[in-house]
Amino acid sequence: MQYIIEIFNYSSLFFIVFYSVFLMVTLIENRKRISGEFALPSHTETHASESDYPSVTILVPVFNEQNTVEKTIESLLKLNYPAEKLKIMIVDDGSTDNTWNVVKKYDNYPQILLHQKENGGKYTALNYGIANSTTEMIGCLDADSEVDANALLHIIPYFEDKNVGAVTPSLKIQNPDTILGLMQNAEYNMGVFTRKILGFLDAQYVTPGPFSIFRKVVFSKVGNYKHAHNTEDLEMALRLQESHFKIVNAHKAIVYTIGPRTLYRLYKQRVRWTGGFIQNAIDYRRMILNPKYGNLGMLILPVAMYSIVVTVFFLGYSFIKLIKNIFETYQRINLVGWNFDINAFTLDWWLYNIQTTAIVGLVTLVLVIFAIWYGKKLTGVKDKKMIDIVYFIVLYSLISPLWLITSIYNTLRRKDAPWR
Amino acid sequence: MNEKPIRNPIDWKTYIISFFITALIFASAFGVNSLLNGKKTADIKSVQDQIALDILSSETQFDLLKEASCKNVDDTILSQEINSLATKLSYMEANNTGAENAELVYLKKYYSLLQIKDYILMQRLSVKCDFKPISILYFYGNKDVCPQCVNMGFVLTELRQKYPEVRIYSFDTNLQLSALNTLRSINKISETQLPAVIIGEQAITGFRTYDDLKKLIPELEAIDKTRTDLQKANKSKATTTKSILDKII
Repeated sequence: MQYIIEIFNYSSLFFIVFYSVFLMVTLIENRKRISGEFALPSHTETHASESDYPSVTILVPVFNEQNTVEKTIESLLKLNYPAEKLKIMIVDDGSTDNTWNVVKKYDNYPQILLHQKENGGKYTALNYGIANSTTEMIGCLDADSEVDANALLHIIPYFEDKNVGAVTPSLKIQNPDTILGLMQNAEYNMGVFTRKILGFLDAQYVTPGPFSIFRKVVFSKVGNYKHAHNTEDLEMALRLQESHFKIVNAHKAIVYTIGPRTLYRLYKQRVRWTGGFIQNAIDYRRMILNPKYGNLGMLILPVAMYSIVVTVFFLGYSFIKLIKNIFETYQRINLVGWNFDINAFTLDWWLYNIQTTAIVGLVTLVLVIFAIWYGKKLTGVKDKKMIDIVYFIVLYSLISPLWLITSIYNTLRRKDAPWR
Repeated sequence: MNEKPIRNPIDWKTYIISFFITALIFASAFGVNSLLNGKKTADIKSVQDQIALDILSSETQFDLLKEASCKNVDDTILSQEINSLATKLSYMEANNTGAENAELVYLKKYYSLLQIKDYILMQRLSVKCDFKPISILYFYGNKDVCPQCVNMGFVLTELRQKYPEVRIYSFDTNLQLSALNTLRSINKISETQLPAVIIGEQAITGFRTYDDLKKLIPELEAIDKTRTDLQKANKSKATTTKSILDKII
């Protein structure tokens, strides 16, 4: 049994390190492409005449978001984009609070279209918006997010490639100030890095709700949004990938989102995300280890699934070890009393167990720190603070098992996590 | 967009490069690990060699001077070094999950032999000189044979920490070592009787608590008494000094 666990430990570690190295190698292979893309603002000069800009509708599905929706709309109104080419469609999904009255004051803006429908869930609001829009491109912005003024300008050039079905932005946490916020800030910056690399690999499996832009024709080819275990943005990306549409990333298009401010809300959000991922991946299992779906099928989806299993396994393993240690200590104290022996905490290097796993773990940690740092660099937004990386590394490993376990439990019960 | 979009093919070169880099990382980690382990083993070996040398030296000293020189024989040879060695060996034992490490078995055999030699030397000393060491022989086995041995180990460790004067010789009965087997048969300890403790002439089998064990060694009370006397003496010395000082001032 001990051998089986050892073999599992080492092979898992090898697989995870391989994945991290793979992302780094891909980065090095594509570094010239990134530096080329850095110069995008001048690239947009090719769109010199206004007629070259495609028409875009940004959907804002709202449900009881009276406090944040205004800021979202204001940020959209400030977008640098020809006004006659940009429509902002607010779809009120049957809010029961004051949201409708808040958005009604934008009634006389020519760019803004207001729609109200019966409550049916976010995906129904999106489908309603898609059905009622007439533009070439269509995107969405959740009412808890705001866009950088140049975000759309950075995204649109990527559609020059006719195979591109969707473009994802870089997500950042808005004004991270709490420990929880800073932790998410580091996490999102790592997400910026990962999304860019996955874009190169044709392997993005989420088109984030905040400001992913789609070619409208895509929806008539692959169909509308589905309930998809409350992670419709993940399912849509998988569906696009299944139809071999390209999803690329515009790393300089920045969207600021309000991360959950309490541990409980964060937990709820992540249970929804992780559970949604697992269940959608099960629904799309035909893609896993299928070379037809390239890197996504052969590496990225398997890694994402496997890492959940491995994390839970390691957690259980360390938990059992901890219990065993506590039990032994308890036994000893019972026998010979509490004895604080200062010699037990000797600094003799001899007594420190420097295992292979620890060394490899250290290498992985360096790669993670690099990914976060690089993510910060990619967006070009000044973020010199590094303390968030510490919070992320220390806290995330402690709290992420909470939602991983709940998600697996929910999956086994075939239960979808609620939105709020 | 009427024709079906085409996905980029898998670039196997990236996979192969990444695989080799990962393998390199693991190989280096294994290398560093075995290098450190090698150093640890070498460290233990050098301590053991030192002890062996010390024992040989005492034996020679003993033989040279015969009875006349009980004073000159150092009776603290093992206590310090062998204790640190015991700690390191038990650490190695605890961290060697899986199969028994051949190196560890060798070190433990050597350690057992050193203990037996020290034990014999002490016996000879106690006969010829007026010297009564408190020696405890402790026989233990692995978890399957002796589930209580872990607890017995805790008790004896505690005893060794509280009374460094007590010489505890611990023997793993799983070691295939003829000298150890002889020692065991002299004391009539069978595998089913573990944990077994020999104090003086008494053989005690089965688990004993710290207090039980203490009762079996009357010498410890004497040690306790000298300790409290010493403390009192120190205290009174301090008070007299203080009173003298008070008078002067």
